[in-house]
Amino acid sequence: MTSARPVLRASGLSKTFGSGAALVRAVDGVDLDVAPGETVGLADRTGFLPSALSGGQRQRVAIARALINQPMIVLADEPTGNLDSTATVEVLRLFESLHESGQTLVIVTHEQRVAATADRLISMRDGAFVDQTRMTADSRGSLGKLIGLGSE
Amino acid sequence: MQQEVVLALLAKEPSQGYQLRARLGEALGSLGEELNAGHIYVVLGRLEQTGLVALEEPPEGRSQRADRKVYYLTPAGQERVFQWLSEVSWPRPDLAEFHLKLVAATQAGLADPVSIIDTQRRELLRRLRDAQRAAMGEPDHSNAALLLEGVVMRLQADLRWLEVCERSWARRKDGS
Repeated sequence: MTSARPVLRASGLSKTFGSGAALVRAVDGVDLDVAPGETVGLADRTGFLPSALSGGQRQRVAIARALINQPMIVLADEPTGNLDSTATVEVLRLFESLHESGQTLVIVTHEQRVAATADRLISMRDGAFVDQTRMTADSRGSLGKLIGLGSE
Repeated sequence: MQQEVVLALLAKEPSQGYQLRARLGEALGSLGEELNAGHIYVVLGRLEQTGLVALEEPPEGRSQRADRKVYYLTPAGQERVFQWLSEVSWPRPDLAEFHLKLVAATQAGLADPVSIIDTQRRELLRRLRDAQRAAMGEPDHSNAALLLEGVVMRLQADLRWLEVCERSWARRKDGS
């Protein structure tokens, strides 16, 4: 998945999708195979030029575009590559809501924080398989100790 | 939790225990839920004994329940807050212990360092997952999000170091 910027520069947001309606569908999630309300949250940005969108928003456009055909699997290559931490969290939230609505995502990333949100983690080095981990469910409760918040 | 944290939170204005807890909660977000609710009153009691905080007089005729007490900083308490703010302190990650574990295990032939590193990495990834999920649950630009960003970044740094360790120990294993 790439950020929408290079493709969208001249045409503006809605034209990239062929028709404004397709964009609205993609953005609203109405016609997508995701639960109602699970959207990329850009309905109020329809018709905006890419330059008027933040990095995180452009990435959400790219994700919306990837979802238009209702794919079985979304492949995301370095989806948070050029994003700051706030925009990274924004994209991860969207991935989580897509995942919860049943979408399968395959993400390639160098960022440990992105990798750590996956259910199944396969580590590669120099093109070769290194390790596979299944991440267990939420185990919060020990985080406080990490930052010295545990009771005395 | 350090006494100085409670002391510094009290520096804003004379407050009741629950108000201090609300300030802590805002600053810590979901991490604050792990704090024992009564802990702050224990700390306030200790600070009172050492003369760093004092109690405001209750209005006439009212009894003073523990959770209604209004605390304020004494001059000694204020001085302690200023001193604390100017101190340079930083939590120290215990990298040497883990490093020596690898060295000793290898020298004695007790365990495979690479599998020790693997176990450690999985544990750190699990913590990173928890921290990242907690961060996703906090509003953008909140105090709590900022703290969790720090937790996430530290864990990422530790994981990068483990990767370097793994490369190095794996290479030595192959060479021997």
